[in-house]
Parts: sequence; structure tokens; C-alpha cells
Amino acid sequence: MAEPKRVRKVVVLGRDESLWLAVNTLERAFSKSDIEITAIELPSLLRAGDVYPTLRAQEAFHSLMGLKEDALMRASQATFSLGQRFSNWAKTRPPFFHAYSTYGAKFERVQFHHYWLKARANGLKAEFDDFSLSVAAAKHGRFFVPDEETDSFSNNDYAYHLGAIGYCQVLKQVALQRGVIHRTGRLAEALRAENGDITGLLLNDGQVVEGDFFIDASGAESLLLGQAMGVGLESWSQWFACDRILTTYAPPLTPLPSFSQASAFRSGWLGLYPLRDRTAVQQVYASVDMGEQEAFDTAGIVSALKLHGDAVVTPYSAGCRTQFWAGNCLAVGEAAVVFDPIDNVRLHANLVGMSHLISLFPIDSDMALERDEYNRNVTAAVERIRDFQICRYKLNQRFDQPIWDHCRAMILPDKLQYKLDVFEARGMLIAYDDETFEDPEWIAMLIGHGLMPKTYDPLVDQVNEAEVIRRFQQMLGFIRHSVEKMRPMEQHLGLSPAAGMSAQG
Amino acid sequence: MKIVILGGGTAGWMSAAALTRAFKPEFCSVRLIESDDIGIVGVGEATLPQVHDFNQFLAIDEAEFMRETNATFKLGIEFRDWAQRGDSYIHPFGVHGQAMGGVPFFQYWLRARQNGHDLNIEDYSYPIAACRHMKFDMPSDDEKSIRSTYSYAYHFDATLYAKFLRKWSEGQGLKRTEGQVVDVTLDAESGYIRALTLKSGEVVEGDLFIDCSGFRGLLISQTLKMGWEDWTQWLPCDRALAVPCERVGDLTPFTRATAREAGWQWRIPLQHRTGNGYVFSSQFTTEERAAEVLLANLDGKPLADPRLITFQSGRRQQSWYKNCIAIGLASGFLEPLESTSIYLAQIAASYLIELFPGKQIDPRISGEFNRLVDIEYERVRDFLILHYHATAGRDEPLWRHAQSMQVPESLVEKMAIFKRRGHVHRYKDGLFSPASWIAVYTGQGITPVGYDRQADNLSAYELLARLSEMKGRIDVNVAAMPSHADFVRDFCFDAKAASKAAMMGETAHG
Repeated sequence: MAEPKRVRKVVVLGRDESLWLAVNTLERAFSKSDIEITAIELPSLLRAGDVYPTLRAQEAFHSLMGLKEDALMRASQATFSLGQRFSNWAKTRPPFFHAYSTYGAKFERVQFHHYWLKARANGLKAEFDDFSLSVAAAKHGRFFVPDEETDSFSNNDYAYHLGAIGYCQVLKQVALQRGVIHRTGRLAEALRAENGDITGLLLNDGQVVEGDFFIDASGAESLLLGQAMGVGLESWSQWFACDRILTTYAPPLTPLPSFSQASAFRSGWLGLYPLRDRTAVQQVYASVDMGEQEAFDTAGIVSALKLHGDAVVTPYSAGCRTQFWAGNCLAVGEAAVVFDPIDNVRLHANLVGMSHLISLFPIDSDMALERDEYNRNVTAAVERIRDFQICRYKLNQRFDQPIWDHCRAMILPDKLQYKLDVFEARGMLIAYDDETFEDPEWIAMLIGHGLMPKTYDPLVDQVNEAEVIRRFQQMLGFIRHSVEKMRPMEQHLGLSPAAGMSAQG
Repeated sequence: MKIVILGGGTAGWMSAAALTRAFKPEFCSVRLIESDDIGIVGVGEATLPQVHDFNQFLAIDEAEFMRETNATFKLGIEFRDWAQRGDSYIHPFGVHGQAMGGVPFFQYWLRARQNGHDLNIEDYSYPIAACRHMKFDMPSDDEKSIRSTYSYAYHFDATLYAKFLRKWSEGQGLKRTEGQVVDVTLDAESGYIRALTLKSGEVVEGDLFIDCSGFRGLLISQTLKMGWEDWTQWLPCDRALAVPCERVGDLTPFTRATAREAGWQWRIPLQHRTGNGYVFSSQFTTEERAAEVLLANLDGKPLADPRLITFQSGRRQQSWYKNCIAIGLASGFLEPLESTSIYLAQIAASYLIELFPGKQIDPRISGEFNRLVDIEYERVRDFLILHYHATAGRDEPLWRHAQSMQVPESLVEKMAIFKRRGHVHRYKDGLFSPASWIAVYTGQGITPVGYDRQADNLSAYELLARLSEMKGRIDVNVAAMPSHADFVRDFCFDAKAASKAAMMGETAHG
């Protein structure tokens, strides 16, 4: 057998967020090593209204990459997000917010939600999300950057709505400045060695880009891992009924909301993501239940906004490759896994893939051990994200509508079913290995959608009612008081105040 | 709710104290039944840092606790003669070095080593350096300081600890009953335990029964017939001989585990004496030979005859079954090689509090308890197997057996990727962080052939400069630490008792 060959040349083939996140991550991790990074850029698929709503981890990623938040946000017309507002997911329950924050504060060693569950059973009117500072800020049209005072009550993070084209431009610019080799073109053929590994990429201009390791960042097409290496797709259609995204945009909202919205309707849901110069609109729906023309009409009605004329409908199908790394080829982003658009995990999925790769970056051509470890861990991480998303659909309470009835009836993956069983039994949240969403996010999601535990932690009964009421009032008072001091989003972004709003708001 | 705890060993009194602390008496009453006739298996004298959390939960005064249990501090375990005779490594309660630019320090060490620099990994661990110099001090809160890179546990007399917890629990109103159980009444329909009948004729009713009766599992096994999963195939030791000896020489801030011909020997330093024991396999040696080996390897004069303990490694198929929860040895046994027995009792008690049921036990609640406890036992099991398995330089039959045995698949995968490049994936539940795995792998001769390529982010010169700076910082800080013996003496000094003694003296003279 030949001596293993050291991996020196890594070639990333792809486009848009997957390409530029991948090369930046690689560059940051290996800039001073002997690894050479080549980006082959395929034509972009982005359109004017496209948006990347992120998770809260994005901020940490930017600071790790040494990206300045201000400049990045300006270039991508970005706004901050304190959470998501869900409306009409249950016919009998009011809309709720799912914030990037903890809810309430633990006392007497018991998590807040147990007290709330008991109080609610005894007639408390306050909703669970009334106990989140971020939710209160979002409802009042405010934004805040967490500080010591807010941290003393709860953890509050924020995410972004990033204009996709501007964001990718920034990432590309940074990567090129930092010395990543850049080519543009289209793939004609992936050249393969006898053992199946890729040796080079033949581009449509006749040139061959050789490499030791190939990253497929081509999006759902999965040009290298899927098409060249022949790694199959595992469909998740049994859990995700929607298969179309309608994308368009509307004029900006004033004042700028500090949250996104997901409003369910008969055939799916419609998401609104505020940007500075426009409002991005994504309507996600099931094609079995609605045709394209109807989808266009519905988007206008559900959003109640004046939508831009050239909306497009893109088919998608949630699912993942049966392996994310095969031979010397690894896929990130949608080339590896196409998530349902709910919960804004698209950018994050890229980061999960890349962060695992960074710590397992192959040493030489003998990379079977890294591959196994990577596939094992990333599969777990991907499934935990998927499970979180499944809950949104499973827990809907839109009765007598075929799509939603179907979602409520679906059989869950075992680990998720077990998690929901234990939560329902006693409000306890099980966290598995490699979770993206932390306990408070799961709890807020489950309670928000109305999965009310049958019992709560009995330790709650040890605290007398007057004390619980006092604590609740204290929390609500703190929230009220804090929100009064907060400023609208425009001021945080250095924009002129929205019409009709004074500096004091 | 009425909780009845059967058994007053360490597990029994830890459970009693934890439940008494967690629940107000009007919410739930806790009662403990123990028999003075039944001995306590006091093998678990060395602990893990988590015991510190337990004591804090009870708001126990640390100095008082140490005085009453003859405790000393523990920064890790020294393993001698494992990979081969003459070896010594320390598994510390802490990391090697500090991460640089998000890359684990260990990876920089690997790179230097693979570039021909024969640097000792121990030189880059603050707690190991403290151990080697017999020093101790409290960790710093300042995350940037090298003095924050460790935590600590204790060595103590488990019998005295049980007594200490008994005093504490009784002070909180716990009812203790002396007596032996002669009969158990089950509910005819549900099979739940309804009451225990004592030798005195007293009938003790309860809603929840905690079985801390030790190996025999009086309730979980003898009454409810819950089965046992045997792990002897991987952990062949089934006997231990324990003997205390006089304390001689330095007071080590660590436990010592020395591999022997058919098992291993522990050495646990207490304030007043040293605890010793030989854990061995009856398949590979005799009791007489084991006693000979043990007695030939003591620091000082033995203070008693060696006491034999027999056991079987494994765990209860379900620790919580019906309304009975087994904690401690009734729930599972893993030899004390990594000082896990007290931790396992502690974590079970804490899961029980977290999953405390109403009178009607939801099987989803007990099922979750069992899932969590299973993870804990399996994590420790795999880690212990590694110690036995990675012993390439030992040639006695026990070690040959351990080297060639089929280890669990979960461990095979972990070892393979570590050997390749020092990679350890962090898991959420259960013991042993990557730092612990790294210490034991490298200590037992599994040294990676590659390293994480992020470690190439420094020039060769910068790399060596950083390593040397790290070692320098550790050396300077360790030099300034007090000796473990001095620290224990000062920490445990009882001003009140001393002044009282002095007053008494004066009175006597006057």
C-alpha cells in the first residue's frame, strides 16, 4: 500500500453562505499552517429578498472570525433579533414569543417553569413568555444588549436577520483579503482515483483544480458528495410536510421590530424577517395542499404587506445525506443536510459541520478514523436540530386541516418521543449529547406550543404561595422597569428614529 | 410522603442527608433503619470533587467536616506500574496547561513531541506539579490564572463520614431506628413495598423505600428479585483485602493505585493513618498470596489484620423498580480505581431529588432515573476497562487477559480516534471530561501518532516559547504553595477547641 499522503491542499467547491462560511472558518483555523485553501465559486443562487435569520450562536462566531459587528450588519442591511413570534399555530391559544433568553429565574433550587406550571393550574393569568425580559422588549418595540443588570435576572442573547447577498459579500471580501485562493466557474467533472477518492475538479473552462481534500459547499445539489461520490439521501418527509418556499420581500417595517414572525396558515406558515431596507418574506407550504398561484395570493393576505411582484417558489425536501464525509470529500450546509426553514438553522448547520471538521481536519490520505468520528458526531448533532424542528409541527393545534392533522398524527423519532414523554410526565427536559438548542429553548418551545406537563417538580409545593407570588411580582416588576429604559432598534443601529417615535420612545 | 431508607452505610447516610436537606418535614418524612450488627463496607475513602458540592448543599462547614472525618485533600490519583513496571503517572482533577486560541494545550504538546522534543506532559499540569511536590492550596476563582485549572476532593474515613452525616441528619430531625428487617410486606395488587417488619416487631410503613443495604440488596434483589448485570468479563477483580497502617513520611495530596500481579493496591492518606487495600481477582491469585503482597507493600506498621471484602463488578438491571430505589452497592459495584463509589451514590440521590415522584409513581419518571444511572455506570465502566486494557508492558496472567479481552465497542471507537490524533469528544452525561481521558491514555502508553492541525498555528519557536512559559508559570506558582501537611494542619485548626483547652489548662493550674 502507498504511504499516506499529507493533506495540504483543500478545495472548497460551492456558493453563497456555505462556501464563504467554510473558507473563512478554515482560514481562521489553519492560516499559519501548511494548508492551502482554494475556493471555487459557483454562480450565486441568491436573490434580492433573501435573508439569513440566524441563531444566537452567530454572534460568537463573528467575534471568533474577527468580524466587526457594526460593519457586517451595515453591509447586510441587518437587524437584531430577540426571538421569534409564533401566531396561529394553535387555534385556541394566543400567539407567543420564543426568545433567545431564559424565562423567569430559578429559586429554592427549582427551575422557574415548575412554579409557573403550578400557578397556571391554579388560575394564574400571566403567560410563560411574560417572564422573559427579551419577550417584553420585543413586544414593546425595543432592543437591548445584555449587561450585568439584565444578566442578574436571566440570560438574554440575540440573533440577526442578515441580508443574504450583503452578508456573503462581506464574508467573501474577508476571505480574499486573508489570502484564500479564489476561482470562479462551473464543475464539469470530479476526477476520481481508483479507490474512489477525488483527485481534482475539472471546471468548464478546461482547467483542473487538484487537491487532497474536497469540501462540497454547493448547496442542495450536492455536486461532489451526492452526485460524484454517490452518497444517497435520507428523506425526512415523514416529519416535514412542507416542500415549497416562496421568497419575496416587502417595504421595511417602521419601527423595526426586534423579532421575526412565523404565522401558520392552512397549508404551512409564513415568515417575516425585518431588514433595514426591506422586509424579507418566506412562505413555507405543502404543495399537495396549495398550488403556486394560490401561494402568491395567500402570501399577500397572510403577511398583510405590499409584496414585491417577482416572488419565486423553490421546491425543497428536508433530509440529509446518509454520510456527510465519504472518501476524501466532506459536505457542509445544504449539500449535507437540507433542514426545514423553521427555526432559522440554515447558517448554523454550516457552523456545526465546520466546527467538527476543524477539530478533526484530516492529517493525511488515511482518514477513515476521522471520517467515522465526524459522521457519528455530526449525525447526532443534525438529528437533535431536526427533532427540535419536528416539535413545531407535531405540537400544532390547528384542527381539521389536512396538513396539520397529518403533522399531529406523525410518529416521532424514538429519542424525541422519549424526550417529550419525560417532559410531559413532569416538566423535566432531557438533553442528549450534541444538542444545539439548550434546555431553556426546548422548554420555551414546548410550553409555547402547549405541551403542558401533567405534573411539576413536587419541590414546588414546599414554597408557600405568598412567597411564589412575591417572587413572580418581583420578576415582572424587574422586567417592566428594565424595558422602560430600553431604546428602539433604530437607535442601536445608528439609524434615524422611525417616524412618530421620540428619542424616549 | 414517607421515605424509608434501609441501611446506614455511606450511601444510606448520604441519601438520608440529601433527602432531609431537600424536603421540608411537612412535605415528606425521612426515616432510616440500620442495624448495628451489620458491618459497613468502608472501601470508598477517596472521593471526587463532586463531594464538595454535596457538602455545600448541606451547608457543612468544611474544616469541621475534615476534622471529624480525619480528612486530607486530594488533587488526583497516582498510578504506578500500570503500563509497565516502574511507570508513574497522575490523573489530576484538572487540565493540562490552558487552551491557546481555542485549541487544547494538549495538542501543542503533541506537536512539540512529534517534532522531537521529549517534553514531559506532567510538567504542564498545575495539579500534577502540586502532587509531585506534596503541596496543596485552594483553587483560584480567576479564570485566567493557572491556579484556577484544577479542583479538589478529599480522602476521608468513610465510617466517620457516615457518622458525621448521621449527626447532621438527626440534627435536622431525621428519625433513625436501630433494627434488623425480618419481613417485607408487599401490596398484593401492585407489588409495591408497603412495610418493613423489624426484629423488634415494629412495622415501618412507607411510600418510597431506598435500598442502601449493600451488595445483598435486601429489597431490590431479595424481595423484588431485580436482576444483576455482571461485568466480570471486563473487570475481573472480585475480592479486596483492606488494612490500615501507620502514617509514615509525606502527606500526599493524592491517592495512589499501584498495579500488582493480580490486581492493584490502593493507598489513601488520612490525617491519622493510611488506608490500604489490594483489589484482586480470585481467578488469578489466592487470598493468602494477596495478603502477603499487601502486607509487604505498606508504608508503616499494619494497624489491624487484613479484612476481606468480596464483590462482583456490575450493576442492577433497574435501580428503581416499583417503589424501591437502590442506591450504593445495592445498585451497582465498580472497583474504587477511580474513586467513584461515593460519587455514584451522590449522583443517584441527586437524580432522585430531581425526579422525586408523587405517591403514584409514573413509570416514565423511574425509567428516566434508570436511564441516567445507567449512563453513569457505563461511563465509569469504560474508563476503568481502559486502565486494565492499556497495560502493554505487564505480562502476568491477569494483565494478559485484560490486554486481549474484547472491550465494549464504545471504548474501541474512543481509543482509535485518540491514538490517531489525541481527539476526545466531550459527552454530556456521566463522568470523565476529555482532560481525564487524556491523562489516563497518555499515562498508560497510548500516545497519539498525529495531532490536531490547528496546533500548527504557531511557529516552531513560538510553540516552544509558550510551552516553556507555561511550565515556568506552573513552577513559580507551585513553589509558593504551602505543603499539603501544613495546609491540612492550619485549615483544620480549631480555634475554639484550642482556646477551650487552654482555659481548662489555666483552671487546672489555678
